[in-house]
Amino acid sequence: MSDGDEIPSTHHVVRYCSSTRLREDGTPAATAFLPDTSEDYLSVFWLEFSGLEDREARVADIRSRMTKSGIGLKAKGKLAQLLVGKTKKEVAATFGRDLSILSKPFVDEAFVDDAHAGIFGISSQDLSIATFIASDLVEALHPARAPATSSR
Amino acid sequence: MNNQALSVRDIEFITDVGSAATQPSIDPKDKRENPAAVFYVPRNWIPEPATWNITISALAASGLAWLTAEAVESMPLTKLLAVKIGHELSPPNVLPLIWGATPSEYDVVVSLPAGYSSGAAAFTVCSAPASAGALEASNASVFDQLQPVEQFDEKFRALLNKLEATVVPAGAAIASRVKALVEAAQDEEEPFSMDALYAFAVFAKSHPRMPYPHLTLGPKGLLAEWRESKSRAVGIYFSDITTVQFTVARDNPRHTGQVERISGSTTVDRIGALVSQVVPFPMMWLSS
Repeated sequence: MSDGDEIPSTHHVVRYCSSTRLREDGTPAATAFLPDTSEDYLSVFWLEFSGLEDREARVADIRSRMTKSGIGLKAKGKLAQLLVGKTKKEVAATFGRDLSILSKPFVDEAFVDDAHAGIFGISSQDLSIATFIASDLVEALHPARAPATSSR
Repeated sequence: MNNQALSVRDIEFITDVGSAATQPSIDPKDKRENPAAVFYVPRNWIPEPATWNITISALAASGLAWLTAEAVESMPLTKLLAVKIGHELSPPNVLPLIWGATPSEYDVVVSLPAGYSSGAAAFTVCSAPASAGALEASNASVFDQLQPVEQFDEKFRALLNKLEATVVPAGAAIASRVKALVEAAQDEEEPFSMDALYAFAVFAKSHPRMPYPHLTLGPKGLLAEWRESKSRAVGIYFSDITTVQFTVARDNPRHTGQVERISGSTTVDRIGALVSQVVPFPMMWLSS
C-alpha cells in the first residue's frame, strides 16, 4: 500500500495518547484527538499492517514502530484504538464531516514507517469532533508500553 | 472596531518605589493622539540594570482592551529595556487584556539597562490594538508562547498561587493537577502554553466556585471538562484570553436517547455567560 491509499474500513488505527492528554481516570480527553499545530492531520498507526494474527503481537508491533519513528512512549501513556469505518461513518453522520484515513508512510526523513497513517479532515479547531471521538469512538485502550512480564 | 483610548484617570498605577516623581502623569511633551499614562523612573538611581514592579489597575473599563507599553522618546537617555505584562514578556509590548467591571489588576515589570540615568515608560490602554501590525503580533504570540516549561518557572508559580487562592474549595487540587500536567509535559517533551494557563486563571477568577474539572493539555492549550455522562458534558479549551473554544453535550429534550452537541468560540470574559445559556443541567457556578 502506498502513500494516500485508504485504510480498509474493517481495520483499526491506533493513536498514541500521552499522559497530558489523558484524564486522571486514564481515559483520553478530546485533546488526544486534536492534531498537532504543525500537522494538518491526526497521526495514527495502522494496527493490522503487520498481518499478525495475535492481537497482542499486533499492538507490540505498533509500539515498536512508534518507538523507531521517534515517538517516546511513556509508561503512563495509552494507545487508543479506533475502527476505521465506524469512525468515518459516525463523524459523517453526527457532524456532516467526511474524514479520510489514509496511509502516510513518509512524514519526514527521520520518520518513515509503512504502518503510519493519518486521519485527514480534522483540524486543531475541531474540538467537538475530537470530543466525540474521545467519548464515543475509542474501541480499546492499550498501555503505551508493554506490561512487564513476571519471570520465575 | 474603533480604537478608543481609555482616560488616564481610569488607570491607576501602584508602585513600590514610593517617590512622587514616579507617580503616573501625562507627559506634557507627549503629542500622541491618545494620551498615555506615563511612569517615570527616578533620576537619581544607581546606573545599573534595574526593574520596577508596578500594578496597573483599570477602574472603569470593561471588556477586551489592549495595553501598549513603550519608552517615552522625549526624555533624553531613556531606554525601555523590557516590559513584562502579567505572566509574559511581550516583545511588541502590546498585550490583550481583560478588564472587568470591577477593578482588574495587571502586574507590569519595567526594566532599564545600565548606563541610563533616567527613563519613562508610557502605557496606553485602548479598545483595539494600536495598529494592524500590533494585532498580528499579538495573535502570533498564541503560538510563540508554546515554550519549554523550564522557561517560566516563576510566572508559572505565580499563576498557580493565584488559582489556589481564587478557586474555593477546588483551587488547591486544580493547582496540583496543573503542576502534574506541566511535569508530564516536560517528561513527554511537549510544549505548554502559558497563555492558556493565564486564560484559565482569568476564567477561574470570574468563576471561583467552579468544581474540580478534568484538566488535560492539548496542542494549543488547556482543556477543562465537567462531565456527568456522555450526554451531559461541558468542555472549555483555553488557548489564550481571546481564543476560548467550548463544546457542550446535552440530552435532546424531545428525543430520548439523542444527544445535542453545541460548540463555538469566544473570548474568556464571555465564555461563562455563553456556555451557561446552553447548559440545561445545573452548573450554577457558571453564571457567577
